[in-house]
Amino acid sequence: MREDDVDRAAQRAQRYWFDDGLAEIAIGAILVSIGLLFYAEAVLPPEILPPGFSSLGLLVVLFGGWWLAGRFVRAAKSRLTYPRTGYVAYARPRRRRLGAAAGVGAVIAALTVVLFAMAPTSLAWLPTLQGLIGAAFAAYVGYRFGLTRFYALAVVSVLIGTSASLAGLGNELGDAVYYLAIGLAFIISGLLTLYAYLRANQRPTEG
Amino acid sequence: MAESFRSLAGVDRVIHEPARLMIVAILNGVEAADFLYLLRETGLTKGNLSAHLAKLEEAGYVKIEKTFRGKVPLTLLSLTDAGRAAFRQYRRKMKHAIDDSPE
Repeated sequence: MREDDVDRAAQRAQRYWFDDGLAEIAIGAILVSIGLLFYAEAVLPPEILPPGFSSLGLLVVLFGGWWLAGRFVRAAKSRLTYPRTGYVAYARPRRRRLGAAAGVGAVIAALTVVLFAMAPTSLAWLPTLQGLIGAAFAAYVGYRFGLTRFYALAVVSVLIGTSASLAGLGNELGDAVYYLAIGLAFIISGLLTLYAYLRANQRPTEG
Repeated sequence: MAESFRSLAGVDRVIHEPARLMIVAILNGVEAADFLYLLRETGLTKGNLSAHLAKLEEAGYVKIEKTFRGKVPLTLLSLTDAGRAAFRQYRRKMKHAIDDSPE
């Protein structure tokens, strides 16, 4: 067993979390929920929306969605994945890594605010920026876990973001379209992966 | 002969065995895994895997925990701190020896 094989064995174990596509379906559902929230904000008259609808709604969707997604993925894995191909427990991410992720997120958010404050007309390009950020996230996951389909999702993210901007939908509707479309892309990718996984791995018979 | 190359003689033989090296390498990437996962990943037979796990447990490198997930019995395997340290040292020794060896 060579050094590369050792690294690959560890990477395969890490990648196992994504083998059944359930995590993608959950991520996709959160993204679609964000899209629906933005869509409601874009098309409904502001006077019928409660105050703080967007910011509070986003918090509820992000934290509630994350919690629900975690429960859904764990329950589905217990029924579908673990009896077929086994159970793996992962260590919690180190504080340094979580801190670095939060730092990157804060820097991107700050740069975005500064950019659009300096050039308000460029708000129309917000969906493109979302597409690029989404692509960077998908490409990072693809690279870290050796998952080719996440590179395809990265390309799809850029295409959706750019198309939403070029279609001249404006930043609110453009954002809504971006999140709805990329969420659906994640769900479709997850469902296809789940289908392939279930076909390849039959549930062992008792005894 | 380089010192690092000579140190190969003192390499940890519990880990050096290919099947056990495979098990330890897999467990090093996660917090714990069950017997079924290791069985599929290593391609070993049940008996062979059990025997190698028993050796690793005897060396204090692997913790074997019999538990339940709901009503289903579950055998959870994880590397101990000693196991992780031994694997780190093993990799370091092998890497130095390979780096120092002539092409």
